[in-house]
Amino acid sequence: MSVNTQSKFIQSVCAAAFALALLPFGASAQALSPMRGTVSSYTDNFAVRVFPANPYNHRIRIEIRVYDQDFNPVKARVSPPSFTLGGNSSRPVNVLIPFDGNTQRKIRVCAESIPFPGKTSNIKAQICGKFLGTRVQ
Amino acid sequence: MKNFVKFAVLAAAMAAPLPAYAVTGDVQFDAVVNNTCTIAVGPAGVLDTNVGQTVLSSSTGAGAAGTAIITATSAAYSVNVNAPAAFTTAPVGGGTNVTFAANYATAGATTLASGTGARPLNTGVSNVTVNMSATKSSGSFPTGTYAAVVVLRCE
Repeated sequence: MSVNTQSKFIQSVCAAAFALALLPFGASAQALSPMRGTVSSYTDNFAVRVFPANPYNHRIRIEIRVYDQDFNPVKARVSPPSFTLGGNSSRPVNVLIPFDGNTQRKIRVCAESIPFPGKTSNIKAQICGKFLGTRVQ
Repeated sequence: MKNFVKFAVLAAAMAAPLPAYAVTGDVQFDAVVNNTCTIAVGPAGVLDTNVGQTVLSSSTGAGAAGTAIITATSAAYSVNVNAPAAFTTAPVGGGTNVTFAANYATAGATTLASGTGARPLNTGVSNVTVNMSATKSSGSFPTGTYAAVVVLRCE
């Protein structure tokens, strides 16, 4: 094995080890705050800012979804809708919900864990905050 | 000479150190504490079949329940589970004519017997045990790998 080939081999082994170190664990944990809120708006939409959090040491993948009272999906603009969160960190997520002609709208903003490929976890964590939007006439 | 003495006295008076006054300043700290709910999913559950291979359940044979820990900072939240609508992994024919069911029990801050539906959580750490089953109404489960996902909700 030449020095050059040996060096490339060591580089690839180091890269693989680094990639393995970045791989997540199977178990996931997540939190959401606030869990309740009331918003008044003068426009056709109302906005909610939530803070999903990862209270543990390994990174997790989170998806934010919006549902109505009966858990039907609501067409809302979520920014960002899904992301990876590092250990012991949280980030703001903005959600813009249309009133759809109503003067009030009750919605759930849910943080859902996304199982990583190759893991067979059979529990999907879903934490939902309940929010009431009121349109000011 | 007389003027010199006057200037000297005046200069000495001006050069005398002024008394040091203590100055205080307020350093403000702000915080907003929001109530939160945390779910930590534990090891995956295991499904096993009954003798006739018509039921796949975490309560049968070598089956094992899935576990999770819920931490609630308010007593205003509830816990619930949703049974899967279908297998996420199943061999051909394995997912037809199948009915799914899921139930949960809690211990710790909240003690709940095995059941279904939304039930209130107490403030604190609750250990959740989740069981699920899949029942085939006609035929039996063909050989292969099966996987399903139960949604555990705190709201």
